[in-house]
Amino acid sequence: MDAFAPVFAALFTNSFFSLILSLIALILSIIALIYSRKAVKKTVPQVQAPKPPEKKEVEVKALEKPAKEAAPEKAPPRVELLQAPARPPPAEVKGIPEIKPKKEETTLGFDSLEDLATIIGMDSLLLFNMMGMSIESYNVSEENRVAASLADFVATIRKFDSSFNAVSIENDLKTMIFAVGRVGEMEVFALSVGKTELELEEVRELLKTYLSDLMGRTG
Amino acid sequence: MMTEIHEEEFSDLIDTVKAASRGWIEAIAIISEDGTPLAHNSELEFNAEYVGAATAAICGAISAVIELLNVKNYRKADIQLEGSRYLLMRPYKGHYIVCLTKQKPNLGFINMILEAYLSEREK
Repeated sequence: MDAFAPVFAALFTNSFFSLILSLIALILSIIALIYSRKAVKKTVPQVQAPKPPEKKEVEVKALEKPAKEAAPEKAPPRVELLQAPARPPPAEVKGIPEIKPKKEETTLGFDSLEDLATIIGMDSLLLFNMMGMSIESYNVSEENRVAASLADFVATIRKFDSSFNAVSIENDLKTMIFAVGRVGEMEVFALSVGKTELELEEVRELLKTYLSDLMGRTG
Repeated sequence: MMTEIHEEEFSDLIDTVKAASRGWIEAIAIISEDGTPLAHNSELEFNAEYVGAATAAICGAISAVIELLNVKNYRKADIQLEGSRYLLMRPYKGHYIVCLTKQKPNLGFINMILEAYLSEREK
């Protein structure tokens, strides 16, 4: 051993050897740092996974992705139905005239809805409100059920088009569903079915006058 | 806020509403908030004092309940009675209008008449 003593002494006193030693120490510490980071990466995802915000993102993405993938090409109405609730609730439809009770004697002379329907060539007439209540009808069976269905129909259309106030369907007979006017805060609608030559606006005006007369009739 | 309307005007109003209802309303009255009957028109035997007190109690109870729901006002209260009659109550200018209908009434028509004549109600 004594024979090596001068060799060790020479090595430790040599500055080049100490430089090499320090380099080796530096390399070892870098390797240790790399391994420790790898070990941390392995453990950290397991701890962070249950965090609520990240999980929500994952859930949202998971929901959105299948919707985009699964959406068929011809499905615009379905998209509309899903978007509809996000729209603001339909407010009062503007442009619907107010109907007030007429105090003076009627100029039209319609004693009943039947008279009016006969004169304008309607087979059936129904006046109803948006609560689904029938106000008056002529030749409509189960008028309350029809009024409820029509009010629901109008409310449904207004979810998509809040300005909706009339629809006219012409086949053998002309069917019209339209807003007649507003009484206070109540909107009055009408259903008319028949072979009439009159346009929707003309029927609306006649019904407005009829309603005004009806409300003002106190005798 | 109470608006000052003479009792005569109230009488005219309820007479007009009853006449316009084509017979569907059998009895109608205007009751003040404290239950005092201000005017009434009826085809039936009608104890206005009793109806006034009952109406004020019912409307007060409704107001208390809707306050719990954070709603300040209500626009109407309809009560279906035995025999398919209805008791309809509407707040009107700080008072209450109460109507008793015939059996199986045309509520759509009655509602329209009440809206037409009471639409100036305070908001």
